[in-house]
Amino acid sequence: MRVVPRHRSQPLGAASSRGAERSGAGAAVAHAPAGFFLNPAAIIVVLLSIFPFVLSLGMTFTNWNLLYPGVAFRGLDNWARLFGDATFQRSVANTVFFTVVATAIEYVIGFALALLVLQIERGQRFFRLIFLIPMMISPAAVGYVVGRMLFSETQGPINDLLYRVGISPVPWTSNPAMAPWTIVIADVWQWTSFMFVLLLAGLQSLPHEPFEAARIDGASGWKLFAQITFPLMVPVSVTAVLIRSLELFKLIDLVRVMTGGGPGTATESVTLYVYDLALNRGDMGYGATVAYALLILVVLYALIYLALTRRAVANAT
Amino acid sequence: MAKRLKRNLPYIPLAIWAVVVLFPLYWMTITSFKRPIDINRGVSYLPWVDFTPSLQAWRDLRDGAVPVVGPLINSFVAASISSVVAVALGALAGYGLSRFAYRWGPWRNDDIAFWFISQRMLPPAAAILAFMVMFKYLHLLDSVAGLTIAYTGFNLPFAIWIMRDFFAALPRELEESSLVEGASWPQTFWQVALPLALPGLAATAILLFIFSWNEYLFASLLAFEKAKTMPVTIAGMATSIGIRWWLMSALAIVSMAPTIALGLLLERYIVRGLTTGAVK
Amino acid sequence: MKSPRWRQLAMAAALLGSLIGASGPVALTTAQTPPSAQFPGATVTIAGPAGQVECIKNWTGDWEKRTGATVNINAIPFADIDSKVLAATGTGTFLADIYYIGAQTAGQLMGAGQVLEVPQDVRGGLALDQIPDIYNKYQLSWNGKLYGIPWDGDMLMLNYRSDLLSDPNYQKAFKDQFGYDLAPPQSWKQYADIAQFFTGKDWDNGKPGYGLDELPMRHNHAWNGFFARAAVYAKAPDDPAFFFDPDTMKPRINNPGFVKALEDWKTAMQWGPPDMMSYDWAANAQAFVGGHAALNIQWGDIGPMSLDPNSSVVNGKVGFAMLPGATQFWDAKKGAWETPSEPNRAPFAGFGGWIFVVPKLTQNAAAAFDLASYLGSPEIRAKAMVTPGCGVNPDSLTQLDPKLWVAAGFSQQAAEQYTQAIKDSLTNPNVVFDLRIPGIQDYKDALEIAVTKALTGEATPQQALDEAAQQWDQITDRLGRDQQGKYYRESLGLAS
Repeated sequence: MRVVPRHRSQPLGAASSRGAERSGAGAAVAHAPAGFFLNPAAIIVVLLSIFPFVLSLGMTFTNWNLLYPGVAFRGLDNWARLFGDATFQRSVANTVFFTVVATAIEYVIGFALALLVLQIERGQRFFRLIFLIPMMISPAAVGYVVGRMLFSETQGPINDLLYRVGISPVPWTSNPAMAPWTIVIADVWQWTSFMFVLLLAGLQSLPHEPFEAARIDGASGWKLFAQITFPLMVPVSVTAVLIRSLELFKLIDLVRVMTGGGPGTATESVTLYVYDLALNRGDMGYGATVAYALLILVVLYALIYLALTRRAVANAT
Repeated sequence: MAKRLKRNLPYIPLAIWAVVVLFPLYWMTITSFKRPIDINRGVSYLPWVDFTPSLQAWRDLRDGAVPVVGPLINSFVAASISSVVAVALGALAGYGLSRFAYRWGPWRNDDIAFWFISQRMLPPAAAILAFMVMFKYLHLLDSVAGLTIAYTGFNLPFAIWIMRDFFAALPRELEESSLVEGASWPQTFWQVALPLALPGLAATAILLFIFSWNEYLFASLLAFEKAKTMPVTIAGMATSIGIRWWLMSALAIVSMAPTIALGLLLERYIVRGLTTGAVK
Repeated sequence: MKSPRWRQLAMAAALLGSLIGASGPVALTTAQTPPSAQFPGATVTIAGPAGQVECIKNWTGDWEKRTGATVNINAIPFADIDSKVLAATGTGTFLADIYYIGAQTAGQLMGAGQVLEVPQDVRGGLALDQIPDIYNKYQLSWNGKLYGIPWDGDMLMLNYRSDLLSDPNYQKAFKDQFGYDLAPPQSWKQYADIAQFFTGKDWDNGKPGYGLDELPMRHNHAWNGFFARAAVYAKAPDDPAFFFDPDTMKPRINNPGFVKALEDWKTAMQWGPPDMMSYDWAANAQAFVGGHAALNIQWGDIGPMSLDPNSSVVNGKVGFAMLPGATQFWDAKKGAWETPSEPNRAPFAGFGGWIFVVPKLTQNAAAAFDLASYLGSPEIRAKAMVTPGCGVNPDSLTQLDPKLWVAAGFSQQAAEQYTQAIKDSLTNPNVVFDLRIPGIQDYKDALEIAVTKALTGEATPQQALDEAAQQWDQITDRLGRDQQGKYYRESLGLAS
């Protein structure tokens, strides 16, 4: 490991974008204890994660079943099984759907709420507090209380209220076309709060100058948003969307409680499938293979996502 | 008139979302005052109007029919220590990544940061068995210490990712003058950079606290009885012989209370903390 | 610039350190152990489903006093219990001395050699001779050896609203519409007529009621809901096999008998609550004891549940019967429909009941078996089955004395019906016990996916079951066809 200080003499504003530096910039402090900063975290992460990562990878080449003693090497059998596994393929499609749709909706609503909250004077703190609450409830509890109780088609208040105003009951979780949307609704209910808080913070930290300049030029409303606010908000948006989508790729608690992946496989998520394979059927070998397939997918997604957004972020900073 | 209308327009969507957020909480609250028969009978909305509220669920909690205090303490210890430790180590690493150019073989800083965040990408259901095996040999199964360590591991990548952005956004002039005056890097970090980043540290810690406080999957498998946490206790109300909605709602309220209190106390801090540049 | 927060941080670190240091084994103290105590100072941990396992506290106190041991109850959320037992088994982790688990999971542990055989000296107290073959041979044993301690018996049955079926107005209207008398259904055809008749009728607080209430949710008993219906169409009385051809391990689940059952079920869905697709065990039970449905397919739990004034609005209004029969059944050996003189009956012991097993990983086998056999004694089982909240159903003939049930609050008529329905099911020679071979969860999920796809119209019943049969073949091949065949024949008690 070679370490070179990134200490710079010029002010921050004039600096080039992160990662563009070459070594040698601060040779005067080459003895700087860079390892002191990074190593503790790196050691802990390595200690805690290397074993799970390696063990899971190893499992993908075996037939390890929790029930039976003895493990046999099976080469790439588990990996080959992925290709003929309709449940796996459906679960990938569902997971992509949940991730894309829920992240998008949460982002849009969260952004809108953050913008609106900053426009009002009275009651700002009240709304900010209220909007934070959903994320403070355990997803497992949200699955039961929001997902199961509220959306119960015959004994829940939502369909009952619809019935009272003459709308026929919505098959929230019993219809395979509707059920994925119901999962999305529950997730949006809970995690819009996360987007809201990050985006609100982002909006508050924006510099004032560009806005004043634009106002002098007569820009307002939508134009102001599209030309000034949004571009400046790209960096915080990129992080917020990344964190949220990484979590959504691993969605399990809500689905497990609300639909168990059904009807059929209409709401099966990859992580739920992994759980089912590994811990209901004991099929660790194949469960780990499905998990690794998702890992590969998510890493690819994250790399592409960060590469695509890199330029927009650089432009904004 | 039109101007006034325009000024008050934002309240409409805000109020709508507030209702969306509050209705489930209202439902949870009234459910905790319903008796089983009130729930089986069908939908009822207003206490004293269409059902008679009962304190049964709350009495059951008070009398220890469902143990609450133990899980609350377990959850609190695991969530608070793990988030504090993760933020402390994450601040160090994030500072390092924003101030030095590291080389791990072909990897540069961006790659190292990506490696950290990629630790959050393996589905937990696969990692959990490895944790069980590890913890078995370390005698950490069914212990709060074990959960704390596991949560620290989850939280650390997020902490590093967020803290790196934080420090990158902080002005460096102060640090430079500190270095010029002969202070070491750790001293500079401790005395100059860290105080500036404290609000952000607190904000990050709160987010991580919430994540750990609500974690279910690991808690459900790595803890048996002694180290049981609140989310598992709540899910335990979905029994093989029926879901005890009334108790589940009461427990969910109990488990929300500390996080909401924390939020109330520190809400300004969260937003201001993140504002200093956490999420750049 | 040192802030007090840093002192807090240091304190937190110190706390973490002391926490790790303090997490060693905790010393056990037992107060005043009688000199005759068998296991002084021992701790026996029992892991079971939360909400149900706590019920044993009613009786463990006496045992603790007698033996000087302590009972520690580990209540696990119902949804996690199998996972937790599996994870403990696979990693060799001590979870408990006694597992309180379902017969299917228990059967897998038995087949895999992960649980201890019940020692001879505790068998005497279990009154095994009173337990019908179906439980003795299939639920508690594997390949002729006894591993399980009895606790609960699970037989799917029909529960119906006796008040509605005996209402003169409904009786007249039903006869006008269908041309025969309204009575507890003897066949799935009659069951469908009654369900159709009551759907939309208003007996439920001004809201339209539903005809039926079943179990079609994936991961939540769709397997049991399906085979409860399919057994009478596909189980030939002279053929012990049901799920597979025992010689070739070819699945039978896509033969005309099973397809007919699935077609019936698909039609019947319209008479159930619209969200029945997402009803788990509890939602099914709550819909019926909440008074929303006329007919209900469930286990014996509904009887005691209907008495509970805290949750039931149908106390005294419930009748009980064996699962309906079928006028025709598909004989897989002959490959033809058969029409018996009496409707074919084939009760299905789905899930199979909660039992106790002692894992090899136990730390105190003697005390564990002593406690388990004490709880599994006929006296305590008889008390547990009438205790609300225990979730225990009768599993032996002595428990089916109507007097016991009248004492628990049943009317004389309901007690007789209830015990008779269970007795008829248990002793029926054509009874089907649940599948217990390795890979059961794989078979189960493949079938449940197919069934739920057919019920929601994503596939026709034939397509869905063909697909499931193909999956079953793949699972069998992956696990080894010969070995699976051996297990299946063993599980049926056929010479292998």
